[in-house]
Amino acid sequence: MLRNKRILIASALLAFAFANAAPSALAKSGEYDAIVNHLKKKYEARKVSIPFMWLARAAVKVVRPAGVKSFNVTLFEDLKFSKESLDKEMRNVMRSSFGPEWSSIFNVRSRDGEQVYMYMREDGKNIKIALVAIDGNEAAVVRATFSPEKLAEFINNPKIMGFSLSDHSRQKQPAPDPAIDAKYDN
Amino acid sequence: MAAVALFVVAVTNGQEPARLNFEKLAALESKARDVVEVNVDGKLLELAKRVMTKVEDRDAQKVVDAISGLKAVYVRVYNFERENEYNMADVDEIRAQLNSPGWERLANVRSKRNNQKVDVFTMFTGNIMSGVAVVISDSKSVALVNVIGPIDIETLVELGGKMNIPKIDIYDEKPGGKIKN
Repeated sequence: MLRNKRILIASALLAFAFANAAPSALAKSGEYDAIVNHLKKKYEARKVSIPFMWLARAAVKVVRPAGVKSFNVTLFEDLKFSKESLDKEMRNVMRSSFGPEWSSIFNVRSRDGEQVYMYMREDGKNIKIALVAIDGNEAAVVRATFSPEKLAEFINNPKIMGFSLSDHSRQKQPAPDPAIDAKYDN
Repeated sequence: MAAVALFVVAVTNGQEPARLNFEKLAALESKARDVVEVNVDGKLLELAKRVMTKVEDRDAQKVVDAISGLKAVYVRVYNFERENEYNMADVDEIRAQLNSPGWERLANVRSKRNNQKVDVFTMFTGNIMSGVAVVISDSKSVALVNVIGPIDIETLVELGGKMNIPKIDIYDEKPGGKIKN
C-alpha cells in the first residue's frame, strides 16, 4: 500500500514536471532556432548531447533556483567555417535573428575564430538572456528566463527548496563603519 | 552659448549630448584582430537598479546611489596584430568629437612607451555631470569608454574590490609608489 502511494506521488511529480517542461521545449524562441539552424547548416556543426539535460530543465522549471524559470543549452562541435568570413556571417545572422526588442549587451569578435554575443530583453516581469559563443570548432548557445525580483530574494537569502546555501563566513560580517552607517541612516 | 546650442540640437535629435558617435570607428573595426563591444544602456541599468535596490546590503545600496542617475555605459576595445596597424586619424575622429563645446579635458597623459595616450573628458550640464569619455590608445590597441549620465566616482572607488567591482589602484611612476586606492 505504502509502495503504491510512493509510486503514485513519484508519477504525479514527473507528470507535473513534464507538463511544465514540454510546451517550452516545443515552443522554442525564433531567435534561438535561427542561431542553432545557422550553426548546424552553415557550419555543418554536430550537436553534442548533454546527459540528463531534460531532467535539469524540468528541475529548474519546478525549483526555479535563483529566480531562473527556464533555460536551454545547446552545444556543438566540429564547426567548419572560414576565419575570414565568420565575423561577417555571424554579425549578419545575429542582426537578422534578434529584433529591436533585444539589447546587445556584450560582444567579442576575433579573427582567430572566437565570437561571443550576449543579448537581453524584458518579457513582462521577467528577463530573457541569450548567449552565443564560438571558440575554435566548438560552440554553445544558451538562453534563460529569470525573474529579477526572485534573483534579489535569492541574493538576500540563498535557498533552494528550503535548503540554505549561505556559508558561515557570509553571516559573519565585519563590524560596520560608524561614519558610513551615519550617512546611510540619515 | 555654443554649448547650450549643441545641447538643444542633440536633445531635439533625440540623442544624449554626451553620447559619442562610434559609427566613425568602422575603419578601426575592419583592421582590428579583436573587437570588444559593451553596451550597458537603459534596460540593463534599470534591471541592475531593480535587483540591487532589493538586495539587503549596505554596499549594494551604495552602488544604487552611485549609479542612480546613470543612463548608459559604452565600451569599445580594438586590439591589433601589429604595431601602428591602425590609422591615428581614425582615433582622432573621436578626439575631434570631444573637442566640441560641452566637453572639457580632465586629464591628458602622453607616454613615449608604446606611444600611449590617455585622454579623459567630462561634460557638465549646469552643475551636473552628464558624461565622461576616456580615450586610450597605444601602438597596438585603442579603447574608448563613454559614460552617459552622472556617476559618483568617489563612491565607486570606495566600493572597489567589493560586489565584483574591480579594485581601483592608482600608482605613480616610482616603484612601489602607491598614491591612492
